[in-house]
Amino acid sequence: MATEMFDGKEPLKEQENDINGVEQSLSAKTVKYEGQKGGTQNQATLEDVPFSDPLKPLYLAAVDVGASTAATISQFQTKGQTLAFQGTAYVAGASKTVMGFR
Amino acid sequence: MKLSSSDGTRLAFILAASAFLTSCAGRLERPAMPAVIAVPSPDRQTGNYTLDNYKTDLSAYDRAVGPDAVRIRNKIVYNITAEIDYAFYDYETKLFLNEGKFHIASDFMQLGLAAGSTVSLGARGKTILGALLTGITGLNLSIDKNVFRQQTVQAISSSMEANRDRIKTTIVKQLANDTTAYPMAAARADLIRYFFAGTLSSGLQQLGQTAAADAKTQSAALSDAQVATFSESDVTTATELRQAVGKELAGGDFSELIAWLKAMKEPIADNAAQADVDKACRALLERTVHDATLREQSFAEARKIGLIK
Repeated sequence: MATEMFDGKEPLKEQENDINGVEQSLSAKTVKYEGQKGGTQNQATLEDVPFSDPLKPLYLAAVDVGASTAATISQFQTKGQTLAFQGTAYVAGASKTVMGFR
Repeated sequence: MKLSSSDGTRLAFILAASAFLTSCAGRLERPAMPAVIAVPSPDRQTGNYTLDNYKTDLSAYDRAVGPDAVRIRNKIVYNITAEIDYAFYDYETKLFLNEGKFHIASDFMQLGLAAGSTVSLGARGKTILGALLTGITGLNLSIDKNVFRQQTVQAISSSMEANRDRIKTTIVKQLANDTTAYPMAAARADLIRYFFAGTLSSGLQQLGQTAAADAKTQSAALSDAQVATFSESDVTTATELRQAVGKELAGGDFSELIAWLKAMKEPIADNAAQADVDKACRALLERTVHDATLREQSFAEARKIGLIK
């Protein structure tokens, strides 16, 4: 298990690129993504994957904190993607419920 | 109301204690000043370098040459330094004791604009320091009251002390030089800097610079700790590279990977085993996550070696 810090001031799409870049570089998959207290950084917890194993791209989605995530999860499931993690993290500097699908 | 005899005794004790404590409070500002440095000294001979003393010494300095000139210059410098030190510590004491008064704009300005302030310079400021500072105009000291309020007096005081120590060290070192290398005019310029290093504005300025430097360091540390941004193109290349590394590791021929690791200055043996190559690849790639320049370099080397297209 390793952790990496991401800039929570970035928009969701840029954070998605950053996480995918890190996953491919480290050959690891994100299992947890959460905002850090007292700032706007997000911390990803990553689990190593053998270089030879396939690593699907990760897609991020976000809703307001407290809002239902059911519709978003359902939408991704219809595309064959499953929820990899869900947590409260910063998106463009604001606290959101962020979901990761692959 | 009638007091009993025990009440009377208690009241007398309280009054006596109050009187004692009040007299102590009078000494809170500073201990009793030794006569030799009191302003003015009781015998008016010692501990107070006057404007007349300065003029006399300056005339003597102008006439002197060689070691005599050095001796007189050093005498002047040490005397003025003592005057500045006295004025500073007197001012610093008032700064601590009158912290509450800074909330009154007029008092704040009086203390802030040290060059014209009777509070900060005291009696000595009107004599030798006044002469020393003649010609210094347009100080343009703009002190933001709100900035001051955000700093503690202790922090400003420490900042002023640090400034003063730095300049005093320079002055003392220069005194070893002859008057050609360090003439009185240069010493005067340094003494002016020394004086102003002990002003509120200088303390605030230094604090601001320190805070800015700290913020820059913190920001750099934060950037180092954070992942360096990946573009979509970076993600595509990182994906290709990962697949290539996986293919090489699974294939049993690590020659291209080893060549790539060596090109990237990653320590690896020519005949390294799979586990060592895997480990070295992970170590290198982890660094590329935080360093976009290194990442670009690793992509370029991987292309050059033929690991990726």
